[in-house]
Amino acid sequence: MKQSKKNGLMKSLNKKIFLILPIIIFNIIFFFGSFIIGIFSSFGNTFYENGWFIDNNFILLDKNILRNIIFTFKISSIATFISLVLALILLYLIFNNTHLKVFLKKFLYLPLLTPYLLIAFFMMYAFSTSGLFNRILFNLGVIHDLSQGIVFINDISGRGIVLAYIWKTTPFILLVLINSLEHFDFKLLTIAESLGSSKLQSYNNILWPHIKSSFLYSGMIVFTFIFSAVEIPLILGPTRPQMIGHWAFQNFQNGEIALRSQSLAIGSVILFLNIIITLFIGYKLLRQVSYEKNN
Amino acid sequence: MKKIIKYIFISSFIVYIIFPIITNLILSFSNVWQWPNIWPEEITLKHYNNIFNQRNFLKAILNTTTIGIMVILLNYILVIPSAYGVSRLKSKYKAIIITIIILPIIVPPILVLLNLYNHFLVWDLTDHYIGVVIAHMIPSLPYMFILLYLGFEKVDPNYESIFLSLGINPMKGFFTVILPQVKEAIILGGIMTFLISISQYLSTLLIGGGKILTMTLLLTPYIQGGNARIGAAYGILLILLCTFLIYLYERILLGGKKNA
Repeated sequence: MKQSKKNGLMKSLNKKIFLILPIIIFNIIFFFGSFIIGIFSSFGNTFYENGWFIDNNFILLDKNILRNIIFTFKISSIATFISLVLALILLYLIFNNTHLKVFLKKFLYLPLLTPYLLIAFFMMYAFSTSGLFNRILFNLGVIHDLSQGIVFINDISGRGIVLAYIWKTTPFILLVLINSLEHFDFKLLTIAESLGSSKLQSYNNILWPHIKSSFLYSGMIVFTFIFSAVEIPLILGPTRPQMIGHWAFQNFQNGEIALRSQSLAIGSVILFLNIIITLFIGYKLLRQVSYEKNN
Repeated sequence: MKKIIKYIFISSFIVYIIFPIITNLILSFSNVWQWPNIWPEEITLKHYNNIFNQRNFLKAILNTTTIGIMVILLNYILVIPSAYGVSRLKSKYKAIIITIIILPIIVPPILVLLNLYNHFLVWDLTDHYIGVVIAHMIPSLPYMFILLYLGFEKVDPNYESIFLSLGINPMKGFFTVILPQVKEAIILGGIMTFLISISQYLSTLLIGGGKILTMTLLLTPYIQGGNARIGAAYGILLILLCTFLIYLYERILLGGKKNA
């Protein structure tokens, strides 16, 4: 109450909780209501039986789910890692070139506004065995037969999924990074270089700390998103092993009501893993923020 | 030499982004396109004709646009006050409030949708615009909140004391002094919301009961094993529609700024 009196506008509006309350009520009614009941019904009730059990075996001990979780973890870390590195390299290449930056900022809207379902579909015809990519390879003489074509779609290692996510997430990360540099003073780099630091040193010590938190933050969003994603693995992924979100979705759509609570159980597993990842990165971010405040 | 490598790297990235879209642009105009030809043997407009002759097509465009605009407006009404309130909040519960608002980002939609559908059956919101709009608001609210919250954080609180000490009505002051400073975040949040809204498939299907047709719903049967060429044409049209709407949206909001 004391602090709100210090704050001008808040004093006249007096209780800022009235500003915040509507969104919280909305979330509690429509989101928490459904999702907490969702977790409860994953344990099974009269409609949905055997939530956490498959043929009387606990779901987490099931061989399939372990394989699927490992596969999902592999795909999402590879895709996140490649897009983060790509975005960082691109940022270092373009950040002091205003024309390129303006052009890329406009251009990168294109991947952002393509829905996931659509890009999965587009990827399928660009990179399938008889797709345009392999046709170009054939005409260049790299491959000599349809059977030699590189398999991207529905292959066991999930190359197609990784390709699609790099397509979709690199622009997102790059845009976040470009925006985080908006208030960056580029003279600092020139000063550092004139004082004799190498280009790499000045990037490391001046530019990197400035973008680090946006970098980690966007990485976290991308990773958790890919981890629970459905659309792209549904179209581009292999049937076995499956990505975990895809697996939950299949059980959900199957029509068998008993399987629905299993999909809710898998959903809860995804949520649990997501929370761990978020807490891990959030902890690192918090530590960095407090470090910056102390210095 | 360094410069050449740099431009090769950037242009190969751009080619990678354009490549799938170009492929499908060609596919949508092709009639016969056999391996290993890079260019189709026969070019036709019949896939686009097919789409424009469908009765549902215009309705789907209209639905997509209306639902998108409604979601954006309702999100603004909920998010602008709350993001501002939270950014000026100095309480130990701040972290908890933010967590409650942005939690939908990390919760898988499957956990929410089934029970949301059950609730909506009771409240009689299924097969109805309102239900679909609410279902689209749930995943898009947190993103808009984050963008606006970060925007308001950057606005100096001293502005408020200045216009209050000048005796300006706080509401008027908020709309004329504070809000224009976060214009970019507001535009970006609106675009983000619209993009999330158009890519919702499962929630539209489930809550809308197949009666509320959107572009994504019309597109899906072609993706899941229908005529791929019509699907490609649909996809290209969807991208064009989004580009146009976002362009229009930015024009309207930025145009208002010039006049002010």
